[in-house]
Amino acid sequence: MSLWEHANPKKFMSLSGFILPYISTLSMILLSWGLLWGFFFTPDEVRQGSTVKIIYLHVPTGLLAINGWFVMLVGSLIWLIRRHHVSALIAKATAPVGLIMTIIAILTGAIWGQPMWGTFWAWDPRLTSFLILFLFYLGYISLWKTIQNPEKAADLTSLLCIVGTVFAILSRYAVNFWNQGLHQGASLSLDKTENISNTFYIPLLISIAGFLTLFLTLVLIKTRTEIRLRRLSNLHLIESRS
Amino acid sequence: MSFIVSNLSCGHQNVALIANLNFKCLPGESLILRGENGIGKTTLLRCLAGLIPPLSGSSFSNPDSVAYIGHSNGLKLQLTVLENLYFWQGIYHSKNLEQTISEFKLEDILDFQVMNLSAGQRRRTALSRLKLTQCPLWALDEPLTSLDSKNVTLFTDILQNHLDNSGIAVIATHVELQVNKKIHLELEIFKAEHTISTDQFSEETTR
Amino acid sequence: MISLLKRDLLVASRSGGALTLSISFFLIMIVLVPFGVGEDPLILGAIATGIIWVAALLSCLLTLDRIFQLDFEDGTLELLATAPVPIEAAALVKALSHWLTTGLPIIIVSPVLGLLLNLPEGGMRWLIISLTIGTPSLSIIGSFGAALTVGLKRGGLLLSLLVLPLYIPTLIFGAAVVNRGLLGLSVATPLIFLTAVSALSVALLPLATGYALKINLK
Repeated sequence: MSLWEHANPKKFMSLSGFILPYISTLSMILLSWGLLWGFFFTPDEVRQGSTVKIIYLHVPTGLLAINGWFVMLVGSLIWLIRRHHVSALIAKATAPVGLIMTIIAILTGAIWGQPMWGTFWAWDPRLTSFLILFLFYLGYISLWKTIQNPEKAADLTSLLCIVGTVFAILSRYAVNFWNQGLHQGASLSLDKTENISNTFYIPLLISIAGFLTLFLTLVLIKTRTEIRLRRLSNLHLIESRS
Repeated sequence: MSFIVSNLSCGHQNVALIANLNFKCLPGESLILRGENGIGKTTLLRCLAGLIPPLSGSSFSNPDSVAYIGHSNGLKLQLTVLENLYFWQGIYHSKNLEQTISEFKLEDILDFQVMNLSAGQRRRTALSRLKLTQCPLWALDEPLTSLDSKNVTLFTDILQNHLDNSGIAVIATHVELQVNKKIHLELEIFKAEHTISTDQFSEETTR
Repeated sequence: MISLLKRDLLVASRSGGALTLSISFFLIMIVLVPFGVGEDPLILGAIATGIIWVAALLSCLLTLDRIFQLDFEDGTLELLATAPVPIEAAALVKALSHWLTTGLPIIIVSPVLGLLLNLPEGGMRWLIISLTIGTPSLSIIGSFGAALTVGLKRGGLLLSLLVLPLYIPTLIFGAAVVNRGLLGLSVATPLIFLTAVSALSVALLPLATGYALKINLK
């Protein structure tokens, strides 16, 4: 059975309905395991004290914030090329989930940075890039909300996503350049994941897995809702025409 | 060059209004679309003009050889009649500007800004663009709106002239047009019963 | 295509103030800054580049929704779509006419404003260069946003939300050219990237813009 078969809404609903209880349970297990282990059962780090433990939230949500946009990009491309409604709705459903991940990444990044910077915000390249990503998500979601016709909305938001991806990548480089530009170097950046030793690494992986499964759960739930909403509006449309 | 449409379905948002339409128009013929409001005349004409892709089926005509006029006049209000025509002449590389002006009797209003013209004068100016396009196929949506009887006759003569020169016209109109070789097409016959579309959602809900 | 350009410029000149709208806004914005920040020339000089660039962005934004909206409303846009002219080319020409009526006046007036904000010596030259290379991309990117939102009744605010994040690379590199230039540092990197962003926009965005227009005309 080819993958495209699942592009059929009915098949998607039945498959996702089947997986959903398993994946949501799995995510709850992994999340609690990873976070509890990470927060309570690992020693405090030498230099940063206990705030470093925020990476168990920051790193996974950061990864998923970017991953969310990537899912939207793939969904948009599939929609434009193959016109499978389900992929357009997956893109639509992923956006709010990605947005929340981005917000958590920004907040946790700010909390993490606070002891170092002495303030809750610094225009660190990582954090700034997430802020820009936040704006891109906001625009994408707003466009979906504003256009009434679902097919037009899918087309236009897909275009926005693709163009947005190019500019998001450009912005990443621009922000890196901007940050080391005029302000005296030493950006107290949050990119310290290389220095994490094993004791931190395993719970981190589990947290990442936990958040990933949470991400999938939320996206599946939202997509199913979107499919149901679309069916409902289709029924209304048919009824009004006859 | 005849105009053939085969198994055409068109509509909005994947809900088909017209389904399985078949017709063939020979040069010199005009097709008058008839049907109640909302049946899909405008949608069909826009589909023929290339603005809306058909849901299924095809029309064997090059959209570039179709001249379309819709409900709105498509004129820039701040420009004069002549300036508007110059613009279209530039786009279509028309060679018949003077002829168009004299046929549509636009000499007197050439230097007036469109915003100062009456509805009938605006419509007449809008229709003159058809001639400038030098396209063989005219797709007209209620062309005679705002025209008084004198101008209706004027346009009918021009339309007949176009048809006599191997042109074809597909027209949605409530006013009866006095042209030769006209075919009436009752769109009611082709009204889409079910949502014939490629939308998987429709498949699911109509099953 | 020239016909389209000529027509648009003619319409703009007759539209009572359309030509002067963005330039007036640009001026007003700049004039307001000292009132908010204080007239200390050192402070103004330090932020002059940023203020001018941000004001340029916002002024461009102001006239963006006119690019396609007016044509959409009076029916000329759909007639243009049925014409034997590629809609992508029409989109590019529309962006060009936007630049001529918005970007170009801004470039011309910028030295005066640089003076008002005490832009340091040597910055003027780079200001003009960076604006000349950067403002075309503002028009092209803006035209893409305008095509997405054409037909929406109150699309202006959504347009800003969509377009401003896309402006960020141009803003960063454009301002960097000026700031580095007036410090005597090498402007090569930001200049190259600024040009690259503009070139990329001009080459690729008209395709996306044309596609968006076709979608909205359905």
